Amino acid sequence: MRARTFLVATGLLVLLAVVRCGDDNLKKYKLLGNLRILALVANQPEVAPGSTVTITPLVSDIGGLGRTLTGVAEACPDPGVSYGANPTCSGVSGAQSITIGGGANFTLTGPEYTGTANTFNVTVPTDLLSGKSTAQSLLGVTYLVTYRLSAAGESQEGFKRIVVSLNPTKNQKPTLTGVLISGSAATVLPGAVASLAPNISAASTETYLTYNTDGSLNTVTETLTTSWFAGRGNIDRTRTESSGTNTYTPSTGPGDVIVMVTRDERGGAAYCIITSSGVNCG
Amino acid sequence: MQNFRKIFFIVSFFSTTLALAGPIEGVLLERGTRKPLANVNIFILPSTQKTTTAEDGSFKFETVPEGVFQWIVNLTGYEKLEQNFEVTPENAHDRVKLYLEKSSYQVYETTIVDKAQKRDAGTKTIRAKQSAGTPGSGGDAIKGVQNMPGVNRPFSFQSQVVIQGSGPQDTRYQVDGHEVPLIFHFGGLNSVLWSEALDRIDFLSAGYGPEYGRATGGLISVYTREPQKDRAHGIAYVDLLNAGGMIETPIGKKSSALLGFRQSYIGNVLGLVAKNNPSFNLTVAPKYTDILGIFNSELMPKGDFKLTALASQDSLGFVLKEPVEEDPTFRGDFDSKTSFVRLIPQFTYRHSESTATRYSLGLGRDWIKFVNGDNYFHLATYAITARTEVETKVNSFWTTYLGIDDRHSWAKVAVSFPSTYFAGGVANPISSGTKRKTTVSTQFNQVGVYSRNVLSWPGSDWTFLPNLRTDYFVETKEFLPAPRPAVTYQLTPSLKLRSASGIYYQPPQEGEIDPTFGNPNLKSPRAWHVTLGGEKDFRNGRSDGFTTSADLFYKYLDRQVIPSTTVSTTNGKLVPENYNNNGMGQVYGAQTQVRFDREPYALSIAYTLSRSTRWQPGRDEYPFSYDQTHLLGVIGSVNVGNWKFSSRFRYSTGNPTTPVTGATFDADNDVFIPRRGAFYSERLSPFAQLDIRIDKKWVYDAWILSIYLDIQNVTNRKNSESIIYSYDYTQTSSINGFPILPTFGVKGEF
Repeated sequence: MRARTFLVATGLLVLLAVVRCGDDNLKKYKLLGNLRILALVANQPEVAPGSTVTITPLVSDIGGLGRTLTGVAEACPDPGVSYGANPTCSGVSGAQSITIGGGANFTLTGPEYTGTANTFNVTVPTDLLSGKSTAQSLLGVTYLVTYRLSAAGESQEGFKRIVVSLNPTKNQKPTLTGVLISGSAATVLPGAVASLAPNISAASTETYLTYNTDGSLNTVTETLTTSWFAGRGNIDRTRTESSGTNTYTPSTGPGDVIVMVTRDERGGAAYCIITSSGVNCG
Repeated sequence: MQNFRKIFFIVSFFSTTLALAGPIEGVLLERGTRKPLANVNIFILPSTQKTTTAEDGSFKFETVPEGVFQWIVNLTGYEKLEQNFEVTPENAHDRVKLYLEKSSYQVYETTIVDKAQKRDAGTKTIRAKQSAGTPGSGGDAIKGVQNMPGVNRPFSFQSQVVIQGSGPQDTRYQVDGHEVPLIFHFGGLNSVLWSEALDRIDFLSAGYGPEYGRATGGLISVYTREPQKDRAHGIAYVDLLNAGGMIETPIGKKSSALLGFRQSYIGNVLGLVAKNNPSFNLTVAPKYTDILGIFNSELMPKGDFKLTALASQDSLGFVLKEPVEEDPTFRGDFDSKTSFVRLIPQFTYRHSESTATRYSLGLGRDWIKFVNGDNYFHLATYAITARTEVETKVNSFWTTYLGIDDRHSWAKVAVSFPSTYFAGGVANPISSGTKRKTTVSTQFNQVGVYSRNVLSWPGSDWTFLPNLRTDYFVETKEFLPAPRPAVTYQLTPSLKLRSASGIYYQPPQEGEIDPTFGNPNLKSPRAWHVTLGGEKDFRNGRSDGFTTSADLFYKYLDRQVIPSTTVSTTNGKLVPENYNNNGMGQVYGAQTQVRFDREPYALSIAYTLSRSTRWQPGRDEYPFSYDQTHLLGVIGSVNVGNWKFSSRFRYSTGNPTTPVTGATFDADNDVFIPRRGAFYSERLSPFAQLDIRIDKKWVYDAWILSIYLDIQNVTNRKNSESIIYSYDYTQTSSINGFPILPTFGVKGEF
């Protein structure tokens, strides 16, 4: 009976999700315009205790036309966001304010007004794994980094988790080198309808071990998912898997941009920004 | 030629007075149903002879003159029969069949509340035959429960019954006294049982008796009927959702059997509609199948045996063309299948006038499969429920019922799914949860014993019921005594007052005590019920007029299971608490029903005023998600010959909702995590819906053809059922309930 309840709840979620797909009145994830955080990219998604991680926020503010933006970061032990805790470091023991390299304020350049904000470094505490079992230390615990992006009268908050573990084979971020059009690397945004694919290195798809509830180990292969964003033009699909293609229809006029963010489902991410003047990946 | 006929007729007529053809035998049957009509006077004119039908409808005239005469049968509730008949030497010894047509074959009552077989004064019993014709029910008798006072309105697509402000999970469903995993198919379109095979539906709400447990809200208890023994019967029907057939037949003189089969095809219709949908492809159209068999036998003079067998299956599959924008975990293929089978043997043995024993078992299997990409949930369960009850009339004022109500299940579960945080009616994206995987074999054992005592002294207007139930739940290791006393007082012959109270427990849901997904240290949620009410019959012994009932109810809820975000380190391992027992709540309200029956008119008005709230540490008291202050249901019908016109109007306060005050971008999972405002501090707009239904029957000698047109939401009102959000929760839209929804059906029966 209770399993039935679970399924009913899941079924309702699925129903809502599917219905939401078809609601044209709500704004679309893939369309850029307002102030947005598109990704928080860590140079190392998984590290040992005491390590320093560099975070690069990828942001967009096409409607802001180059106004001054402000980024503020904090870090703390994960209060249990995956289990429903609020994703904030406010009130969490061990929280630390993060200094933004280059200052909190920055501007995005036009005509795309989409790019990276000032990066910042986060040093995870050395005692984060103290008291944890060997298995838990290999699996790791998460350290929360929050980032608040604001402009006049507008703001958006985001967070990411840094996995802190003693795992000798740590997760690496995917390597995204650009966009392919019919198998060839593109250097600028195409001027006509084109089928695009992320250029992801084969080594980006890693395998890793997880523990089953009975203590046995399970080998899992990452699934890489790429999120697509467009400024003026249109992108057919919001997300693609692996090297899946997406159809881009350009729009006349300056300022169009395509952003790809490839994630490895373990906190690793990489991005590319494609404009009429070039391709910038990180 | 014409003159010749006249001469022939005159000669024939006079010949009837002159020649005797001898006896004539026959049988009087109800037209359409072929039901034998007993103890009915039959006359023949002009000889004015009279005879009376026997129990099997047969009759005999010893001496009938040869020639033309007229049958005359006049019976209350039937059309007068005046039929010419010519007796000739050739047909004088034929067995005559006379068919008497009812004045109307339409059932005119709105909702029949039966007093027979009610052990608790507060139990509402609905006769299946009447309930199936309710507007908006689509011909489904169990949906008639929605018209009872105290039943909250579910969402349009919901397949559960919510009783007096409790949760949907607090209602238990059973068939012939034994628990079944579901009573409605996906989306609540239809119940899993044939309405034509049901006897009654019992609706047990606050203060229900000790025979049942493991439900803090109430029970929907469906009882199948015995297959008819008089002759073979059959039904075949087809409507917009499904088609089916059912046959029943006597087996010898003491046994009978029934077999029904139903198959939906709504999925094929949806498949065509969804053919060009840009978001998904239907791979397995939603469909359901039901099979029902009933066997009944008088095994011995004092013992009856009945076997109910039912099987049901729901399946649905589709492929998303790309991951869902707001929650990319939902991607790829979906495959869902739910099925169960139950065998319910029942044996009743009457030891004497004062003692009877009832034994019954529920044997079955449940299967649930849900697959989405690499996420899955598989459940296979063996379930055994057992009931034994001894009824003893100890003396003139004391009757006892001692019983055991037992449930065992063995389940194998394989789950690989991210944990989902769901609070205040708002779910975090599944993508943001931690994926957990487990395969376990587990068992659940729940044993209950009960004692019902009915104390009523001769001449006294008081009846005392000092009832007690005690449960033991093995999975939570709890011994749970639950007194459930009740009392009734017959103030006047037409006014009965009643009061009942009790403690009710139900075990935590399987997932809630699972070591991986839940908290194995949870205790069973508890509810304390008190009701006070009465019923007044204004009919003064007549069959038509007003009847009314009214009840006050109060429920206090504690040890309620609520989601927890606490994570602790145990033995060096991070362990989420997932759930705890810190939830509390209360429900109070008043409900009333007024009924008026005067053929051909019928009217029922049900109204409930209630308040249902919950609270928990860190949160002030807030409305429950099904807190519907006002619930009104009005049903009216009128019969015009074999036409029936009926209508239902429903109104309820909009369900509470929790506002989302903002959202935080989860950069690892590419989704937004909602920030919840005060729980359930806003409401959807009120719900209002008008349904109409038209039934028409054509009655032939040996069978009846029926058609119906049932139009739900005839005004096409947009009733908001749920709020949906843009990916970042800054924009909202709503999901509306069913638009105008006509259903057309044809049924033939004999």
